[in-house]
Amino acid sequence: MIRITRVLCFVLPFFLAAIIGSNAQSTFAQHQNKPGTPTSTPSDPYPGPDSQNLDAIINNEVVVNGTPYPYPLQEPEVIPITTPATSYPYHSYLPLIFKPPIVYNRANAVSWADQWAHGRPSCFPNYGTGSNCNDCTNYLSQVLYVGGLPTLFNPAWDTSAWWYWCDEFCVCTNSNTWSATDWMNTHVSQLQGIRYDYKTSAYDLNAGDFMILDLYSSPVHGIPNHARIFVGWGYPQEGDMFGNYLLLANQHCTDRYRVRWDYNLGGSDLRWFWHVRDLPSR
Amino acid sequence: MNKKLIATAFFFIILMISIVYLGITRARAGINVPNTQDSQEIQEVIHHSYTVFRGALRNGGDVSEFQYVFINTPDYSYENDDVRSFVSLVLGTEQAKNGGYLTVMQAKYIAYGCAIRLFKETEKIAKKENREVTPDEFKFIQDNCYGVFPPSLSEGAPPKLEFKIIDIEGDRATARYDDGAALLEATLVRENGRWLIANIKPIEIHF
Repeated sequence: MIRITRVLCFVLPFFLAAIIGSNAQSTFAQHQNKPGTPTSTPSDPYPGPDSQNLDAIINNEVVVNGTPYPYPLQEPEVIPITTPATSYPYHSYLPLIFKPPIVYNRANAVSWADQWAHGRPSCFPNYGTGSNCNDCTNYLSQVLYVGGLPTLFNPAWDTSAWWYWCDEFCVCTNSNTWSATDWMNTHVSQLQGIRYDYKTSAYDLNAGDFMILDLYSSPVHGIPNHARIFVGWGYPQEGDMFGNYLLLANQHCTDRYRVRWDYNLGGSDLRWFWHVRDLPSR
Repeated sequence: MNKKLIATAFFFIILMISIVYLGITRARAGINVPNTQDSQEIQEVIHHSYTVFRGALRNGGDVSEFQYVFINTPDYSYENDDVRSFVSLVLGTEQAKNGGYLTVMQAKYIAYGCAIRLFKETEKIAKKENREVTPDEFKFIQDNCYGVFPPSLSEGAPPKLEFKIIDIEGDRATARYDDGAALLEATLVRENGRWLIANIKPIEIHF
């Protein structure tokens, strides 16, 4: 009995240390992927396109889950983002005659997208937080609005309208197109060639453009049900492929800040790529 | 003597806790996929479902392969009236009335495949004429393809599936697997010796 005890005394500490060690390792790995956690990415988030990683992607050397990462079809456009989101659309409040031309300010749009990737502004509609919320399209609409796209009022509440309104207590309401993804996709398609351009590849998009998705894993099949905003090229701050120079996107529900544009997208998810015109005619 | 007994008991308790802990960790990893013929067939049909989706989109909405992958059973019911209306629009009221997972998938991919085919044809004409596809042409596509707008096909290889659990009871089976986008649970039934998907629902979406 005493011999057994001695053997156990000798063996058990190693055994326990091994278990605790493996547990700590997995906890650390989870912590690495936690939103908002500083990662080992380089300090400059907006470097030029001459990154070594870009060459690796073009040459299909970057592999995710055993599959070469889809290559970019063209040299990426780099948009330096330095301007804070300070100018807001004012077209709606001016008489028709004084309306200046509409300009889509991508820097402002991306700045807002980054600022509120993990938060909710107080005086905008809010469709929840967490992973099972419905705020993705509301977040997209905010980004487009702050980028300079004027709201479109229509008392008929149909897909031609696109607006939100908040009272002095910040109790807000909005059109269906502002927050419901399928309505938004229809609305956007109606303004194809006027305010938005339909694209067939993510690599045709710039920072401030967006993608609407019909997720295969969504409980409701057959209609678009998710949206992501492109924030330009850079190193992912969340998700995976840290240290690779990629086309990045933000989203709400689950909130993501600067993940690769196709992070966690399945092979059967349908996508609609929309480019916002720099000078929309409406 | 008492101290030795207490020490022995203490170490045995720790040993038991460690064994239980290891068991729980393994269960959480959730690897419970039997290595049987049925299990292999179930995995193959789920893998194949991703291929037939892409095929339908690339072939202008040809869903003739779907009947070898999906089946209508009471395991699936319409999520809401919009889905029912959409199925009615594409396949007719009668089919929508008796519809299940097969019917819904057919309706969805007929519509999207149609939109992609028309868009490609329109784009080809537009390129020949050195112009972009016009808003009127997009409207034409929507009007002729059940109101849907052409989606883009996904790039790259089909997703790698990680099977967690396959539970087979007679002619029914449940498979839990991760396709990278979500942890999904498929309900399958065996019909004429062939496993078919009767429903797929998300357990945990990774977005």
